[in-house]
Amino acid sequence: MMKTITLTRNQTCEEPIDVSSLRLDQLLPLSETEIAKVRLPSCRNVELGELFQVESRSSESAVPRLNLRGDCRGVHHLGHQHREGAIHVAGDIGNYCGDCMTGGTITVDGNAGDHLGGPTGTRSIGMNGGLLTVQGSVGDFAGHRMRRGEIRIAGNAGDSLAAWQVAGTVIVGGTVGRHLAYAMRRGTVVLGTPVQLTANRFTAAVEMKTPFQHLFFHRSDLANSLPDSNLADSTNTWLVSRGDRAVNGIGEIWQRG
Amino acid sequence: MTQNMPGKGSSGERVHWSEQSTLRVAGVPIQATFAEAFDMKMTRIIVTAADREWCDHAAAAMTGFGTSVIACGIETAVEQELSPEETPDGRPGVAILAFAVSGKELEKQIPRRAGQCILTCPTTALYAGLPGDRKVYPNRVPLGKALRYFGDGYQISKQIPHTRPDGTQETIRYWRVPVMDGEFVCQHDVGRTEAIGGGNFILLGRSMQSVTLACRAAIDAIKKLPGVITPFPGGVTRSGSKVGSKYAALFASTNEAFCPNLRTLTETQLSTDTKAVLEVVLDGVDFSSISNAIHGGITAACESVGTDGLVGITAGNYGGKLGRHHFHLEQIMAERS
Repeated sequence: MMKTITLTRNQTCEEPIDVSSLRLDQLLPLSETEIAKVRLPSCRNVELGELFQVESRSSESAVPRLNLRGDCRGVHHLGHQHREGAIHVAGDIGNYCGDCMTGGTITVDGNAGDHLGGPTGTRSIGMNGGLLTVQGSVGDFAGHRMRRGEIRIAGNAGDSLAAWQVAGTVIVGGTVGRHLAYAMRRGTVVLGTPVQLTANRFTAAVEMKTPFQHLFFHRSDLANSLPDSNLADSTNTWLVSRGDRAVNGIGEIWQRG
Repeated sequence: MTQNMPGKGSSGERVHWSEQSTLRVAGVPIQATFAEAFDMKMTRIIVTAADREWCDHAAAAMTGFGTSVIACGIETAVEQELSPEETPDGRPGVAILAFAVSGKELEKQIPRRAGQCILTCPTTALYAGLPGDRKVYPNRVPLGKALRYFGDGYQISKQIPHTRPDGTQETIRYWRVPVMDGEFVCQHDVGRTEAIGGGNFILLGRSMQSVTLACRAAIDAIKKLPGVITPFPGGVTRSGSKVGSKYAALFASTNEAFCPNLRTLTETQLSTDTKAVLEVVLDGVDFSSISNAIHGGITAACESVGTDGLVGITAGNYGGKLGRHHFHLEQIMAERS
């Protein structure tokens, strides 16, 4: 039996909220009343109960869970340094979702803002582990300075996807914006929709020959995350380009041939 | 090895145990003795390839010279063939079991063999055959952890999150090493665990041909069983050994009590109608898997040639002083019949 905490956004409250101080592992020992009294110091020091309706109960889930309900487009830094358990957002989420996360999962049913899984403040490392799934589209700088873990975006991604990526994997079912994988050093970006890469930054595409494709695509949870992308279709031919050569990077960009 | 010595009949001549044995399978006497086995460390790996032929080549190389820990470092053999549906990457594969006397030896032998036998074989990939991370198997045998350096900096590490059936997440780390046919994919490491080595049974044959047929029937039956291997050539050895030797440098030497040519020279375990003896040696993941294999092997051997081919079946032991796992033949055959 694990605890499931559900926060439902008060409809009367529309101001942006920075929830970077909210950690699932730190909420688990608290009662429902105690959770409601948790203060958000980076947000005019209000109590959580003033912004959300709080519900806490035991559930059959194998991992601790934090659910967010209501209009969360103004909720930023959700899952900051998240490391254990599952966070689920029933709708859209604001900027910096999953910033500096190191483990666990974050699932967003709707869209996410800018800097998904990115670094914050003076940190040089963004997402450093775990699984971040967005069923909708995301803003700019998703996967910025990503070092480990996996980001799945079923919809479209904005500009500078995977910029300065160090390692890890980003999968996008839809289209991507400008400056894709700018200054990428290592890591993998998998694109459901082909793009024209800049020739002086990325190598010409060659056909992938590796059993790793099967390991990568034939995961049941991946098909559930990207239901309309057909990425796991075994008839797909995948082409890979390496870069960003501007920084001597050997990261990979996979595109369907 | 210690065996029940031949008794004496009413007329004073020596009577072989096979004439007095009450336990028989297809009429073949089974001696009321036990096989003595030892604690070992074990791991399981999965090798896949683009087709069955490459896979078998890789497995043959990997398990070659893996008959006995006496000089090979490990005892290893193919446990079972795997269909594409049973392998991680959807290609034909084999599961290989490897046993060593120490975890350290296993950690030395597996990457060494994998590097020379799996990495080198076209189209192959290498995966852990014991599912579970450090929480399940804290002791690990390096695979890609050691072999990745062949990539000379072009290797790629990928950690893939998998959702377990219970809903929890497990992350598996793979290495992708560029090679001349594409990529060698290799899991980072594999767990190792406790196991048992040295289970055995010995077939006393009326001829070389008949004991060969009996052994092949036994090995065919054992091959179908999970969790157990017979590491010797064809699953069988003719050089059953005893502990020690007249030569100080050797710690194992021929078991003269089972050598037909020495029947009249030494204290023999053989009846006069025994012309050839072969031994099936078994390593298994647990007591039950070896017991099942002993039962299946003895049953198949006896049913294949009967009393026309076999004088009897016995087992090798050291008086129970060296190994803590004792496989009593009469108990195994009675319980599983």
